[in-house]
Amino acid sequence: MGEKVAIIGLGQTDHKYIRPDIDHEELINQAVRLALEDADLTIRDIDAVIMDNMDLFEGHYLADAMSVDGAGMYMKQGLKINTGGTSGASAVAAGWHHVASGLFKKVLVVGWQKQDAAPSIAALVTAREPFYDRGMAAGAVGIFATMGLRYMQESGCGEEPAALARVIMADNARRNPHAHLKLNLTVDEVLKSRVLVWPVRLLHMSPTSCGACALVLGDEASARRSPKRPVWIKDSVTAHREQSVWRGGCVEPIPTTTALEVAAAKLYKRNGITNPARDIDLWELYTPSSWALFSWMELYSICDKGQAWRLVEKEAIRIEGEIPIEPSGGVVSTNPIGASGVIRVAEAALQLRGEAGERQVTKKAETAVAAAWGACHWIVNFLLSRNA
Amino acid sequence: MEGDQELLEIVIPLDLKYKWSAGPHLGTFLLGLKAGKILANRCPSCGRLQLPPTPVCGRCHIAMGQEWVELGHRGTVVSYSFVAEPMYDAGIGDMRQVPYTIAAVVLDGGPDVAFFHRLEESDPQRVRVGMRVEAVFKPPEEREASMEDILHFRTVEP
Repeated sequence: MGEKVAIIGLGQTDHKYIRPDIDHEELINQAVRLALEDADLTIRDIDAVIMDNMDLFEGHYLADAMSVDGAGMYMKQGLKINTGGTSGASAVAAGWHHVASGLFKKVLVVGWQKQDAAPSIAALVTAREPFYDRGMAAGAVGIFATMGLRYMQESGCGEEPAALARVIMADNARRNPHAHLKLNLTVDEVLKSRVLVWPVRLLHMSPTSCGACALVLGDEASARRSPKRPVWIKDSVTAHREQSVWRGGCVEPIPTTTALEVAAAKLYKRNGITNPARDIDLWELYTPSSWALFSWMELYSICDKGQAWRLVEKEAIRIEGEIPIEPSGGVVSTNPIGASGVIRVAEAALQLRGEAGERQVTKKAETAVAAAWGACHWIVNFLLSRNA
Repeated sequence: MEGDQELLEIVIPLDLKYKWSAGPHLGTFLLGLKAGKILANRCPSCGRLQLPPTPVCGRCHIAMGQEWVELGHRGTVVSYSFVAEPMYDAGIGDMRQVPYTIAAVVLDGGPDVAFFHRLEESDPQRVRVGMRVEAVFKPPEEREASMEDILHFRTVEP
């Protein structure tokens, strides 16, 4: 398994729709400074820096070339990573690999996005095959619509449980000072918001956000000297499916589900998790649409197939519930995409430290699963623990 | 510099033309559409079909070869959605016309692959998983070896 790896520092900006007051280097630097302060370290203590964002969203190539100084990469080893929606989680996984290898003691990971630059859909649809599906694909919204429709038909779930899931995530976001959308919603308001791609309504979709999030990962010796309680990355699994959503002729409701399910099963098997709902205390699963939540819950084996919407109806996923999911408010509330995967890990780590403030889950939090999902068919998950 | 400083922004247009190569496998598929055929190719190792055809089977990681299978024009809807929100289309450099219905259709003769296209039917009450549909091709003289050679899939009454 390599060397033990802990999260020893974390920091994030407040996430917002537009940030005309700041350029992307300063946005990155804010998160980096917060994470270093949290770890009581300076940039001189860091051996390598991993940065990620979604290429092209800001309209320029080699985003790292214009932000080396802000990220603290100057004359250090490091990488720039882009794997689509999972970029942030891939960056954390790369940081984990670095420290686990024994070659690096402290690695800084920073993910960011400044989505006020352009409509992200313009960059996003270029991930599709121009001859085949680019002309019809409806971006992320279309994927969640397909997923939602299929889920309704197979499980008997109506529109209300998805709206309730959105309300719960909004309630959580209002307790998170960094969240972008802090909406005070009712089920009725969600059901009355306009349809983007049926059954996905405007309020079911994540916003486009500007923000950054950074982690400091350390080896065991660094973790023992850390002023904050270290949170251990026990394991992580990445799985890829075939390229492009329809290429390869997938007849699954949504092809990435295979990768997600395979990666979750592998994580559980390797770590002796036989009953995820019992063995994991909280989840930050990367839910870009309330319609994705049901599928995620079932593919992560939190409940049986077709049952997730009933758990949502019982409100078991709330911060005070038995199975807290997205206590941060999730991606549907806050989505600076390149940062979103890093935020999942940071938020889960805050919970395990017991430092999540108003959004701290009620139940005792010893273990968590954090993950990210991307339509380009990567899935990355992490098992986090308070114990080494 | 804090407070009332004027915040500067510029708008950067990006208007570039890129060339994209279909390659021989996707090319065969597209030329097939022009001839009124929907072609998949078969993996010589695991035997599964690929639609659209690909040069490599991802699962076996071997070259797909040249075993071509013509699929039926009729098939069964396995998933669908209704696009209502106008969105930017990078393929045409402009906003795309909405609404339209998209669907994954398992064509007769290819049970392990789904084809991705529009449905003619736009009434949410009249589209369901399991419904039978049929490809409507443009007239031969209007075809351009593209996905648009198929207008849409129309509902086949049971």
